Amino acid sequence: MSPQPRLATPEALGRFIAGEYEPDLAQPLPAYGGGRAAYAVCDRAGAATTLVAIEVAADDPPRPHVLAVLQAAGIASVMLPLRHGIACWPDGRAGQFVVCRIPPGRPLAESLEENDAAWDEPTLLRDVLRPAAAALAGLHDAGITHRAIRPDNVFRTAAGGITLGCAWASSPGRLQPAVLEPLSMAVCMPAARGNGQRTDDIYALGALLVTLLGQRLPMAGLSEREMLSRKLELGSFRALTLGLRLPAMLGEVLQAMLSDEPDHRPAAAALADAGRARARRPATRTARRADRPLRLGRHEAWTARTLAYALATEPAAGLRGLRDGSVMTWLQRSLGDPITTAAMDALAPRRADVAADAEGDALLLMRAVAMLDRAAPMCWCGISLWPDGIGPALVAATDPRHAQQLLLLANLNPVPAWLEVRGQSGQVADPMLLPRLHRIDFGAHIPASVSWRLRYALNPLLACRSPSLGGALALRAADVPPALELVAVRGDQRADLPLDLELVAFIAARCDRMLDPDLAHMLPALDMLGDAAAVAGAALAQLRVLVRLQGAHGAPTPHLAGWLANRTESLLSHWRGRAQRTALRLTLREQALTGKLAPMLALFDDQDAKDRDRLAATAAEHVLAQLDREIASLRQDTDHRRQARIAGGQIAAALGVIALSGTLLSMLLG
Amino acid sequence: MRTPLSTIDPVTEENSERVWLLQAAIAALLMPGPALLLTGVLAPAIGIRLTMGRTARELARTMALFGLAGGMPVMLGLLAQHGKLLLQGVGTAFDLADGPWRIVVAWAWQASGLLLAELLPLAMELTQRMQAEHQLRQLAARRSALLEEWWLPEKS
Repeated sequence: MSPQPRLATPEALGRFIAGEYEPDLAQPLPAYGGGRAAYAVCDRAGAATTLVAIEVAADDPPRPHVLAVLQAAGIASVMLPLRHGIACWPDGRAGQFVVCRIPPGRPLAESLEENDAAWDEPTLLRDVLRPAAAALAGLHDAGITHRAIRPDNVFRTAAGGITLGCAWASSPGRLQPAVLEPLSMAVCMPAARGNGQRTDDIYALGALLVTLLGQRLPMAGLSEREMLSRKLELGSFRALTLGLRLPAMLGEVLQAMLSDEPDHRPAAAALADAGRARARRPATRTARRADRPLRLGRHEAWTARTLAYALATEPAAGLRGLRDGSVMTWLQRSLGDPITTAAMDALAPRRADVAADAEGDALLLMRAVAMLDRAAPMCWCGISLWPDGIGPALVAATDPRHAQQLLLLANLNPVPAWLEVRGQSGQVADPMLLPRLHRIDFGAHIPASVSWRLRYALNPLLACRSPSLGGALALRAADVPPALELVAVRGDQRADLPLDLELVAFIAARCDRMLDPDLAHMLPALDMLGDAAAVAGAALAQLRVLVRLQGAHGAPTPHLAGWLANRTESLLSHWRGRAQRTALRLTLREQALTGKLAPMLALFDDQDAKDRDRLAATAAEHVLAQLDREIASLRQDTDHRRQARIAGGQIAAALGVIALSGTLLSMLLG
Repeated sequence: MRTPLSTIDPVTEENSERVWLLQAAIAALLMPGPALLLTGVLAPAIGIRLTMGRTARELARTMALFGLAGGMPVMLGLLAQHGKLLLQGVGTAFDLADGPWRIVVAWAWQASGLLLAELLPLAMELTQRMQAEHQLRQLAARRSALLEEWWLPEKS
């Protein structure tokens, strides 16, 4: 009797986050999510805990490096991540969560909303600046930036303690209001801000202090563009504190913290002592200002930085200005900066007749912006981003044009050129970025799969939410077989084949390149489903990939195996012997029931059996040829018929002889 | 131009006939009576041989054998009764053959020889043909089984 298949259950797929915690969807804890959904957490026994599970948004992957480091770190006053992973509910849906300990106290945003008593300088210094700076110092010492210091993500106890909220369940700076971000971050698309520098946290902390002082977000009511223009025009400190009466000591500290030059901001450790921070405040240098502005599109540039901003946000007008030389003329005559002018001249020869070249224009603009403002992010076709933000930006890009430009960016990989122009002054926080980019083979695959693959390659913790998974999620490639098993159990197959383009790209990004030939093999079939032979070939390639993912110790997936058996069965027709085909078909079904994919694949890959079958078929062909010759010979055989007639005549003659002999013998004998 | 008898090779089929005819002519000259009687007895076989030519040689031979088997008792009986007389006179031969039943019996034997010589080859051919058909069916069945078993391409 064949074994009964074991049913896949959501529990088998991971009801518990990291096998330990279960989010209780009935108990939302929005105050602790810092802008993301958050839920209370139960342990395996169903008991309540003091933990919170913060849900990761579909288009906003968590920070892999940070999670890896902080799970083993012990930094005070920070909402450290304990576990992260996927939890699957009984209805088959799943979510990705980061589990943290619930911080003591309430978010500072609540005190702003409730219009509590105004914060005075000593309270701010004692209860906010010092503990927050100490927490930041711990993070920075661990090589990590927080990048999510904002009123709804900083918690304060009644006793005066501060806890920095969770900044790990989303990409860095993604949920930060632009007003709390330094210019170099505020101009970027939110998902593309990258891990940033330590000084970016200092700026955000300074902006938070200004917010608390003013009891509201600075420049509230202004659009993001207006806010940026004001920061550019006045400088961040003046723009943020406009209209505020600043205490003397805090004012000086804030001026340093909110400097537009990252190098001028104090370190977190120095902020623990406001007096020391005040004493170490470096002299600020006023930016050179032109005597008349340069108009580029909607922008007027007065300084090199505002020119860089104008070039970044008005790429068409900026390119025209670079090509016709008006930018260089303004730099030389109005701004009086011959060094930058010479460098720009070398970068962009004044030739208005240069043929339009999208890639060349993008590179030119990128270099020009980097040259004008060394602190500015990379500018690419009108998109401002930091290189380590490319991955989250690709996920978040809803505009197809932006997505295409980001793909072009990843393909051309201009990061080294950008770093060169900046004199390596910027820090690309993700050292794995370039290797990951280099792993993508842009030439070998169709664009759709490249796009998917790039997203997953650049975002190691981006869960795959392919429609083929039917609501389940896959964080690792090994999660794919059980998730597909659940789909097969529910009979929710959306396509002929288990793996769709997105899943193929996901697996390609998560696995080594050894799978690439099989993955590439199935792409044509995924593109033009309907060709039965291509589908069967792709099904075999998918079986091969899923065998690798299931591994030797993976849970059995009988329904997925049955699904694949249905799709690959037609490949058994390659065996010539009917008896062997029938036997193989039965064996395939039996193997599918066990849920182990490797033995199924072995049936198709058994080269000895194939050779035996081929030899037997060749022998059968020889026998057939022999039979055909015999049949043809029998059909045209007149010789035998003639011989039969002759033999008949001879027999008749023999009978005559016998009759005559008999007569003579009877006469002789009387 | 006919080939001189002295140069004839009696072994060949054509020439053996001429040798036989020569021998028969000599026998008829020596024993005209029995020759005439024998001619009468074997008239159907001789007639078929003469009218149908070389192709009927086997048939004529079989008829002659049966005719001899049927007519031999009569002839030998007559020979025993009339002895020398029969060997010498043609008239005696006519006298001896006056009983029509004697000739009819010999001819009836020849008719049965004719039937045998005609039917036996047909029966033999039919049997052979049936055997061949049976063999063809067996081969075709084996061929179909092979085609089905090994998914071999059907040749046009």
